[in-house]
Parts: sequence; structure tokens; C-alpha cells
Amino acid sequence: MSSSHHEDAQAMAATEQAMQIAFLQDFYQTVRDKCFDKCVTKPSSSLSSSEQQCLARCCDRYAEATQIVTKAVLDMSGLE
Amino acid sequence: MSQQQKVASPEMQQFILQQQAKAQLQQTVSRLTEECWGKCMGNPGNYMTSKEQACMDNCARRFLESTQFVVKYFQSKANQGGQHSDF
Repeated sequence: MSSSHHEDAQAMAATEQAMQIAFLQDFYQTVRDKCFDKCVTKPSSSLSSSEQQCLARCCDRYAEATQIVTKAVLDMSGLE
Repeated sequence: MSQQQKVASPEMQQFILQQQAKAQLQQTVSRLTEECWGKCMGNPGNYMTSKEQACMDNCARRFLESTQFVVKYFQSKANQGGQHSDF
């Protein structure tokens, strides 16, 4: 009796989704760590608008940095 | 009573290998980006300067080259005469 094709497909889809969620959580935490360091240097009673703007810019820059590194890694591994 | 062994289908096996490779790649990129962010980025502006871009790219590549270097270095030491290997 074969493990049905349908069961396999379900397992694969569930695995991919779980991996994606785990990756995103890790990514958000990393960006949070780095951008908190850069942007919230003197914590006060709330996140100021300039702190929020810095965080937003930082998120964008970090995403951009990730893209650059991804390209370099793929290139170096001969995958691109 | 026979135990029915479930073996992953070839399709499933390939999927597992692909996911492992993907996860490893993501982990490398993630770690490298963290490392190089510290070395290359100043305060976050509205865009990355060309200097920052170049630094990130160089940093990633040099890091990977350093990995190869370290491995080769120890390999060549081992080949030169194992009596000096301490571990």
C-alpha cells in the first residue's frame, strides 16, 4: 500500500508553510534586533515618530541588504 | 504480524533534500547579512549608498572565500604530516 500521493502532497505543502513561517519569524526578530540597536538609542515613554521612521527605513535597508547578500551567495555557489 | 514499513516516495525524498538545501541557503544568507550589516551599514537612510552596497557584496563574498580558506588551510596542514595535528 503506497502512502498516497495525496497524503504526500499535503505533507509537502504543510512542511513548506511551516518552514516559511519559521523563516519569517526569524527574519522579523533579526530585523527587530538590528533596527532597535540603530534607531532606539535612548528609549523613552513611547516610540517617537522619528524612531518609527528610522525603523521603517531600517527595515527597507535590511531587506535590501538581504537581497545583495542572496545574490552574492547564489553567484558564489554557481547557482545563478 | 508484519510491520508495514513506510518508505518515503522518491518524490518525497527529493522534496526533503530540496527543503534541506533551501533551509541551509536561507541560514547562510541570514547569518551573512547579520555579520555584514554590522560591518557595512551606518545609520539607516532612505537608500543604501553605493559604498554600503559594495561593502555588503564584498563582505558576503570574502566571508565565503574565508570559509574555503580555513578548510583548505587545515587540510594542507594535515597533509603535510599529521604528527602535528592536536585533535
